[in-house]
Amino acid sequence: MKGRFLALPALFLWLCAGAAAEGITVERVSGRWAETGYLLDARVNFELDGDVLEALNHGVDLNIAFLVRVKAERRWLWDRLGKRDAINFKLGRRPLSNVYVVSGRTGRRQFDDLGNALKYLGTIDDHLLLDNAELNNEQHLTGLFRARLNVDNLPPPLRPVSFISNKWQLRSPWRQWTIRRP
Amino acid sequence: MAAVDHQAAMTRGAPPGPAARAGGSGLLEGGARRAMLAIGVLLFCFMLASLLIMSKALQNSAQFDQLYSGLLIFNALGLLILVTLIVANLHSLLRQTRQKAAGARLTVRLVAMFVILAVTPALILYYFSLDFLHRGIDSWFDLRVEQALDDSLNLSRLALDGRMKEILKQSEKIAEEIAMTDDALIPLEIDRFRARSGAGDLTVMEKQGAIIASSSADTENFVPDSPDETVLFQVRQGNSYIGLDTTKNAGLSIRVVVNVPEPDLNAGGRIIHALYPVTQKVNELADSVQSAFAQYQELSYLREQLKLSFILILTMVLLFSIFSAVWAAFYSARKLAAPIRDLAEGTKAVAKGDYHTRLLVPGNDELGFLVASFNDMTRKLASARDAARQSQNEAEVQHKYLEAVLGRLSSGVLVLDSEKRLRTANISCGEILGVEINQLTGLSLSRIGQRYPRLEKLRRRFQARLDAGDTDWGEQVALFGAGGQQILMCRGTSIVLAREEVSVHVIVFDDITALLQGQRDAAWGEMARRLAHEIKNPLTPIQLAAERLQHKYHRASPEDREEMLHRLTTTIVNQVETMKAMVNTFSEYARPPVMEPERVDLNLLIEEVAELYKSAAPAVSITLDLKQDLPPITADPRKLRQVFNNLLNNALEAGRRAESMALSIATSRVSEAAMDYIETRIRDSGEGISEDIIATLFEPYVTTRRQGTGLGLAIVKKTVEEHGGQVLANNNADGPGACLTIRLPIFESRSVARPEPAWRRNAV
Repeated sequence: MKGRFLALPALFLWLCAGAAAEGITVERVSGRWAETGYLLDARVNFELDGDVLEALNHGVDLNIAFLVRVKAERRWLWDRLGKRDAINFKLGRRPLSNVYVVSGRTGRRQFDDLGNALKYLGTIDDHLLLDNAELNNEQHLTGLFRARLNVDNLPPPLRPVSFISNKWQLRSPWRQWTIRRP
Repeated sequence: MAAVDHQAAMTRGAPPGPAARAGGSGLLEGGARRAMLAIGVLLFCFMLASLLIMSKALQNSAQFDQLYSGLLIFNALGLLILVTLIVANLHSLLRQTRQKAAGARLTVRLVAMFVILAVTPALILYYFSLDFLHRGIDSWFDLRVEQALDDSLNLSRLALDGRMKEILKQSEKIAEEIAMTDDALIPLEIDRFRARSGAGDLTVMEKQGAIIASSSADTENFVPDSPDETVLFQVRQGNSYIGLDTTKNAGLSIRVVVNVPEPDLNAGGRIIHALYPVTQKVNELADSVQSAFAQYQELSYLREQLKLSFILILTMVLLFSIFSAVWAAFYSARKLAAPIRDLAEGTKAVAKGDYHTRLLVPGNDELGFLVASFNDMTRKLASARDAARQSQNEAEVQHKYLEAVLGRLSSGVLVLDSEKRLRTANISCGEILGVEINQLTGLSLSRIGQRYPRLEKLRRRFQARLDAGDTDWGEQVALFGAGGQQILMCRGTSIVLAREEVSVHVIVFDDITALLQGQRDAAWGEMARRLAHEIKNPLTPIQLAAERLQHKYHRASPEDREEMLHRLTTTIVNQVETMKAMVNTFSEYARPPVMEPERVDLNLLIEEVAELYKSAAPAVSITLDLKQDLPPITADPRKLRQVFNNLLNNALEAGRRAESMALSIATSRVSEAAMDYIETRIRDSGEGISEDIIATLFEPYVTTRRQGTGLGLAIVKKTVEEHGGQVLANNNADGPGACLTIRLPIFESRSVARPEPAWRRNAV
């Protein structure tokens, strides 16, 4: 009896999790030390097609989030989460000028071509991930990076579909790199 | 909820008392039920609120927009919990139905009724709501509106395109002027060029991106805006660029990038980058058109998703309503059925004899009145039962008392019901009648008579009295059985039992055989004593005096008187002898029996006695028909010999008056009333017995002979009865003469109790 009761939430969670579509891939992620701190460089490739592209062309803004985490390794305990950061962009289309607009922390850029807009979107250069004050004395730091489409910011009518359809589950796997101290 | 609800029936709030069933478990179940109810109501409220918020969020409410996803999951989980509760309730109810628990079927019917009443209108409403939803959303989108929006957007584009073409021409003209201007003068002239062109920003730069000169109407912005690489790449290819753009601070503007015509082909090449602001009015109109178009486009695209979302919410509301109604139906049905279930359980308990069952009165409604009536009924039943028990105990005490009294009575007491069946009998009854009286309880008189033929005479007398309707009667009944004659003094009366409204017959009887025998013995003993005292004592002097008179005056008397004297004195002496013999006979009759029992072969004894009479009376034909292989009997042979002497003597005396005399003696074995006897029949061919005396033939002083004392047959009867036997006398039916029958019991080992002969009783 209990097994039957547990089957329903399991099915629901499976539908919610879904198999992530291969629409976002992290091509490269790296960092370097500068005078201000640790700067992040990343190249992310977006391939929008199907329902997502159709929604974008019909005026639905897409929220893209780059999630960055820094963990400090510990010998006998689990890793300590040292930094959690999110870089958010919004991609939209303006019908009058027929351009794609990318807005975010760095400002607002418009592109005639979606490819250029996505290329611009997938390029992160010199993002200050850690300043010198945040370094502490951690010796072994690991960075984690992923990009995903934030379905929570979709219009409400789209959200139920985006929860259960893997076409909307655009997210890259976590990409890990080692942060070496200078 | 269901698991804990159905068991709370008999335990909820039972009043304190000897049969109060309330306990810790009942209180716990009640608490759990209330807790589940509170949880269910809370869940209901939360889900209702979340559905309302979801509905608001779906209508683009910025306040609840971020809660939409969480509320969706929350409501799904809430529905899941409701489904779980319903399934658990259903499972519990089905289990109770299979177990045929009290109230389960009623609960099923109530739940089914509630569910049908709740679900049917909800489904109808859902169907029409879906229809209205589809129609309503579709009505939002009209082809004419869509076309109008497209047209307005195109119109805006055309309007802007015209302006953009003008600006492009103007920019190309400025570019030609700049081409003819020396590089060194361009920073000095650029403000003039910008003012004349009407641009907000004007920048002269190299194709590689290096700025040569810049002018801006915005005095606060010193950093000129630059085109991106794609635009630059396009311009480097020799093409001009013009497009609408949104600058950082202003609204809509027209971006123009054109090549500056260079007469010198070896020159590096310059470009003009200009931003022309549109008027505020155009900006607002363009923004309005664009946002309206974008919103409509988005709405149009999301139409199906919007329907799906509304249907989702509507379905969730429907499921929430139905599940809540079903769960409430379970709860209400159980709550409604609980008093009825309690009543059913209580009725079962009462049927099993538990009259102290008390139920919680659910309220002041009809069910409450019913439960209160049930409690009142059980209370009265308990009181009645207690009173009945007390009465029963008292009756049992009375019964035992009566039984003890009757058991110690020497008289037999038996009670017959109106159907003449034995209802009650005491121990003495069985002892007197010689039967196992306990086995006869419930049997009719006729059945008892069939089972015990010896009691048949008694049965007939009882039956006659009862049939005659005698209500108070007394009668002496003589029974003949193994123990000989048994005389019972019976008294009967009819009693009407008021409680049962039937009449019963009570019969009390005593065995007065010994009493009568004792009275008779005492009478004859007194008589013998008187004879000895009054008669026997003077006889000897009379006899001596007569003998002396004869001896003294025999010689002295004249010859004629001598003979007379001799005859007279001889007569006196003989009569005195006769009187002595008579007195001795009476003494012997009255003497208590002194038995010397031994094993006697009755055939041999009869042959001996008959042989004496054959020689003494040769004229009498005596024939013997003795059954061989007869068992020996236990008797006093001397007394038996006297019995047969008396009988044969009587027979011969009776035959002397006849011309010829035939006497036959036959023995046989007979069984009567479960008793074996040796029957001896002495049959003569004499005159027979007069009908006047045949009834009292064996009484003393009953005789037909002049010389007889009348004690011969009385002694015979007395002796036979002392041996436990019977003696009968009757005339022959097939000829002259009489027949005397003697039955002497054969005592062998038998299980049935029987009356013992007098010599055995006296020996104890």
